[in-house]
Amino acid sequence: MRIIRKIDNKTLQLAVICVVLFTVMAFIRPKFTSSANIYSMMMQIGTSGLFAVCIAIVYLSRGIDLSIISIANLVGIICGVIFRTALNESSSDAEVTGVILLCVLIGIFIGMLCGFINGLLIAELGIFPILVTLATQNIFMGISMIITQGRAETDIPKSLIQFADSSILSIGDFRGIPIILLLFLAIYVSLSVIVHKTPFGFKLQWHGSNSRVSFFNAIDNKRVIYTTYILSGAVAAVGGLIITGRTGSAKADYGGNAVFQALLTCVLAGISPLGGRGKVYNLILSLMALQFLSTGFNMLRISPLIRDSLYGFLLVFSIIMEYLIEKRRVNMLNKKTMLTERMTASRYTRS
Amino acid sequence: MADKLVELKTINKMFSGVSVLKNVDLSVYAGEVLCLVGENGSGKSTLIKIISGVYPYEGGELYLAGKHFAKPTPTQSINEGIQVIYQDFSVFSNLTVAENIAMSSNIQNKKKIVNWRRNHKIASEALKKIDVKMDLEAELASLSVAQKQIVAISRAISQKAKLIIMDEPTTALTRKEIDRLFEIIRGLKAQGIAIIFVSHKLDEVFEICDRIAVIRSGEIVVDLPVEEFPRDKLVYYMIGKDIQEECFACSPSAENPMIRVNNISRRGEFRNVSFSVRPGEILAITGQLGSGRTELALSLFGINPIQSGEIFIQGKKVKIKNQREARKLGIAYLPEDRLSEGLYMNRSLGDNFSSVIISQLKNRFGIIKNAVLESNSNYWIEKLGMTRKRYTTPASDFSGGNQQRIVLGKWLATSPKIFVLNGPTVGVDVKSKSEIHAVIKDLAAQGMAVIIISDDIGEILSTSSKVIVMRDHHIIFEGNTCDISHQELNAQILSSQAN
Repeated sequence: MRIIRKIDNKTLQLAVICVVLFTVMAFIRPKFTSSANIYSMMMQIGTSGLFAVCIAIVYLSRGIDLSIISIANLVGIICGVIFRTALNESSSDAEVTGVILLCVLIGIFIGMLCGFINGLLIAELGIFPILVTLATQNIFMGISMIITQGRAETDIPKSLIQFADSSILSIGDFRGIPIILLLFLAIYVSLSVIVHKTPFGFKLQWHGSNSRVSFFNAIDNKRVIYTTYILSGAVAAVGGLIITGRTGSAKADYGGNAVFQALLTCVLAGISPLGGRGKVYNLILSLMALQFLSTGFNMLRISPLIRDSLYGFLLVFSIIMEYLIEKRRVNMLNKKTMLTERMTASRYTRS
Repeated sequence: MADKLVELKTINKMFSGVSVLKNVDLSVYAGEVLCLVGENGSGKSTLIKIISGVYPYEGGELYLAGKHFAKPTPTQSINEGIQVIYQDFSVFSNLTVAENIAMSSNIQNKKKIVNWRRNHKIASEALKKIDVKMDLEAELASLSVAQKQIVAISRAISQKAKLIIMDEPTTALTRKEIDRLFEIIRGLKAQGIAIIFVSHKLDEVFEICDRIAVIRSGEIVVDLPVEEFPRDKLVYYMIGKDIQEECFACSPSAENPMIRVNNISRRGEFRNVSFSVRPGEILAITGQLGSGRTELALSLFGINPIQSGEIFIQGKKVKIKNQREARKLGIAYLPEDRLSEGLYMNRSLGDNFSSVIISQLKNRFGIIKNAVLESNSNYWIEKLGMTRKRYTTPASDFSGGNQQRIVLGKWLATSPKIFVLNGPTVGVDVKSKSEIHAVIKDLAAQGMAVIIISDDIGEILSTSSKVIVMRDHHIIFEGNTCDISHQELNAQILSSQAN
């Protein structure tokens, strides 16, 4: 009972949505529950989830980071260039592994650097996050374009591609749990802990709740902004490495609607763009719900032309729902106060 | 009796669970000057905003010019002839006098094209009505405060105002300008225009008004014609109790000052300020809005660092460059506006109580456990005498008095040596007010040096041992609260600039 009481409404709502979507899909398209489909859904959650985590942390600070997909692609491309120049047919396995590890480090460093630039512009110059990251989105993509001249980097080592496609716990037909999903889960769990259980996480959420109060609480707001965007950049870089491994290539304009998907996932999970409200751990449920939906659209052969606008409708709908719920809460609160005041008033008159 | 322009029947209003107006009944008749008197946070501004359609009301009925409005909009209110002149006058400083005056009536009449001749005609007609001459081509930025006010009044008249509400119109005026304003008000009255004059300057109230309504904690406590109004009772009605002219005599626990500031200045904000506070002492800094008192407080907390002069804490010279250094030096600051600067309204009690000391609450793995937040929150609830509530309750669910206690508590958790309190009881009900005063006195008794910034004379006299009055960015008076009466201190604060 205690555990049930601890779970908030949002988690419950999302869990119900997931179960309903899954059952409905399984009922009308039996292929939905096939092990191949479940495996592919897990792979996709592993990638799109990382971008959702980025948006979740910046959302909680009342910011936004539109540049994440550009950061991811830039990281992929730079790694691609390194692979192309440092490795050739005759490279030994040890050499390849070494270069891959180096690329992971460089990639994450580049992601953090990009995040630092976002943080710099937001914290020091006080420009709106949406403007800053819209600009850097284009700048980062521009750099990628210049490096690749619009072409794809395709000299990705086989061992990285194999690693990205590997899994554990495979039983018979079922391929088990993809390593990408495990990687995502590790990042997701540690960021949930950082955001909800550490001093930095509290400062991050308070910054989103009201940065002026933080200012008077002697909290270093600039540092909070820097850390937030550097974290977001680092996670986006991991996303870039995973995309490179999965697709065996890196392109400047890969994943056009990844940011939008991430925004939708966060809003659905109850993480408000207005900051300071929502739980990161609810993300996994909204990721699942959206994945069921998108795979379902595929299986039902709904035209991709309609699909994008359906997602748009879903975003608007969930924002309206949030608004209505909040309004109801305030009304209830006011009614409650009026009632207690009337009660105290009548108590005074009686005595 | 003349026509009723506005009638309020049992109006109620609340903000996020806090009741600000309770069953307010009030009528305004044509051609009268009604004074609305009340302390800061008593609900005056909210009442005005309900009449002018800015805020919706929650219970009761509102009639404008005899018509019932369930959800009036500002436009409807203007169309019924109601005009509000706010403290900042809401004028466009980059436009001329004629443009400013004609602006609103052009919008009201849905004129799409600027017509210079029409603007001039509207402006000169409006100025004629109040018998004032002014250069119509002058830019507002070049005018004095009093002249801007005249522009705002003319603008109201040009929109066929039947009722003009003036929110503390005399705050920034000299005595001469106030006399002129009163002449204008009498002229408007003769033309049948009603005025609601919002003020808490008692002398002016009796000079200009026909009727006085006192509002206290959201309720109209008295509403009488000026002839019948007992002059000596006005303060009693405003505050809700007789002022105990009982001064607070402290017992400093040490001779050496906890904090001493020597000749500190900051350009355009304050200059050559010196004072010292010993442990156990409570110093009040007061003065009118814009006198530099808030800027001084912010400097002590490191937000606007001083540009010259010295600050000593326990005899050691210190530089306070930002809030974090101030906190390290043992300085706590309670901000002026609780709602927007003091509390994370949508966050829990546990969050707010730990919001200054969060880094100290982590365990050796760097994790903050809910149990720690809970025990921290429960400790301060107990200590500050609040009603027991779960640590997950959002801060917005508390009343003004309890919210202020949360702000106090989160800073007390740092065990500060010096506590700067800016308006500690603004918008707090009478009972909580005296409880907060008790908490503050208790802190001083434990050896803290306390500095209160306040414009509440009763509060200053009953809680502080010393008082400093600021005007025009410097100290004009300094003394013990036991040696000065309520009236004398009031006179010091209101003494206007040398003419």
